[in-house]
Amino acid sequence: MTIKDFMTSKHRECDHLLTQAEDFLESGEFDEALGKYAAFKNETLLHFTMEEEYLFPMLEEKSGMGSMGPTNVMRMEHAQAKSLFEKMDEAYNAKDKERAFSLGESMNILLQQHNLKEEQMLYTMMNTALAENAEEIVQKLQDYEH
Amino acid sequence: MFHGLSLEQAPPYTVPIKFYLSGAFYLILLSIAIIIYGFSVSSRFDYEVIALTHLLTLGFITHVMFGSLFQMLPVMLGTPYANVVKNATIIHIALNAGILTFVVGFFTNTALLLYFAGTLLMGTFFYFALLSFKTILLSQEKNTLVQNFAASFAGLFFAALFGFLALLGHFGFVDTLRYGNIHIAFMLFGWVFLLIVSVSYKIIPMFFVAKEFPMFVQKRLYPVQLALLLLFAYAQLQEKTLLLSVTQLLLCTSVILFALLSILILQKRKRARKDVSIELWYFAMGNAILAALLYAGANVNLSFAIGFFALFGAVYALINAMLYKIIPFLTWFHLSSNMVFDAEMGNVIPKKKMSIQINLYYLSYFFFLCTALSPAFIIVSATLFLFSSLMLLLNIFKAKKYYTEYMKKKVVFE
Repeated sequence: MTIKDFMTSKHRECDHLLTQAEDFLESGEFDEALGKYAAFKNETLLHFTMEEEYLFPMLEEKSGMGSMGPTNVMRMEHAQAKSLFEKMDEAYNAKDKERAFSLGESMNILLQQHNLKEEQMLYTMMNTALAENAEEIVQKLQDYEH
Repeated sequence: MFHGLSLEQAPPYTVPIKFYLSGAFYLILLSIAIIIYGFSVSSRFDYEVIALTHLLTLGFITHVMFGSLFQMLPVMLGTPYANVVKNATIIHIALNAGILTFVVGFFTNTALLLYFAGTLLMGTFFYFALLSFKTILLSQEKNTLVQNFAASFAGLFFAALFGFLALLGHFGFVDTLRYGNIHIAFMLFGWVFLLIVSVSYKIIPMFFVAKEFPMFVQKRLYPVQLALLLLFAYAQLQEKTLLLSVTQLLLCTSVILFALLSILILQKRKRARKDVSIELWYFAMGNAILAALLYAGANVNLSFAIGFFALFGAVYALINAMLYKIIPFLTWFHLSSNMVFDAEMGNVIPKKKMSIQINLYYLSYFFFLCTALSPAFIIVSATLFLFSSLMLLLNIFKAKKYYTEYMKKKVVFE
């Protein structure tokens, strides 16, 4: 499995958790919605940690692009998502369905366009620049989950 | 290794918004022009009808498409447009000068204005198409999506060329009908259809968390469509009747298959919640299928009905749907990129105001159908569309105002 395959599969898992949370929200099952939302938030934040603490610094060093290149834009978008999580926490805890959906839509589009850039460019770059240690890197990424 | 790659390619917020506001403004002009001229037209070839059609196609559709491409293409390609603010301003000014002189030229039948407009518009389209091609060439990505976009720009290039030739025909230089038909085919089946297709490949999975379109469709549809369009042009110019009918039928088949496929994918989307955009999408696809069926079985010369279903029922509805997805997100995204985190996408344009505007559009569409019973309904339809267009303009203004107000908060905060 390549770095790109692994990280892309994690994107899809997060997408799935958010849609599950929204399905429960739609049917008024707030406790289940809150549970799935919490799982979505945890998975997404863990994904950001994998990138910010491990993958991005490695890519920056290998490619010589430094920390002010594309990875910096990705970090900024992570900050945007984190700010949305604060509002989504409020909406889910208050069982405010309309606000939760509205914020969920922002989160969804933000993450989808963010993921698109990562999958089309950044992960492709990682597959090239970090090819020698790909297996070891994927193993380390899997360890993050345990 | 990755020299020149930047993920910070989005142009300033004002670039796409300026195009969207201009687009909505032309819808208002269109409604007023229909109220004035609606009764007096009888055929697609009336100069008034040509002017009215282009208020929609050049005034609204082109503005929104150009504005959206300035925003979307760099994000998808990883390469920014060169000098985006300057180039967008040049294109915006030239496009508006071209549209206004074109429309006035046709309403007043003034040859000089039409020559000027035709030259300016062709130059503007060529410039935009070349600028976009250049962006594509500089991109490290040469994937299927990029190829689809390139194909739609090729459609735009040929559409503009044949449009200019058709315009010359109005003064007796060439056969307007033949060049006009090729212009319409390249514009609708090439530029507009392929651009919608290209955007859909990304937008539908992204906005609605739906499945990707099958890869063979993404890879095969655009070359087939371009090849069919070239065959159509050849058959039209050489008067090969059978070939013309076959290509016409196949072009329509592509549209129908794509429309059905997009409906199927949307119905199986993971993000199940319905909103106004999804309803508009279904409505647009229904109209696209209807227009394609009518065109497939019709004489090559487009009738009023086909033009109405294709442009007003399908393309307009689709763009309206996408505007209500794109503008709130863009507004929120640009604010939060500027570290303004108080804004919420749901508050950019109130949902109720979007619904009222779209319902006015649906009503206008319904009363336009009623013109089959009595031409008087055209006034009701155009008046309703005038209100719908005013609301659309106000809704876009509201988004811009929201952005400006929150950006001021940023200054206060600092």
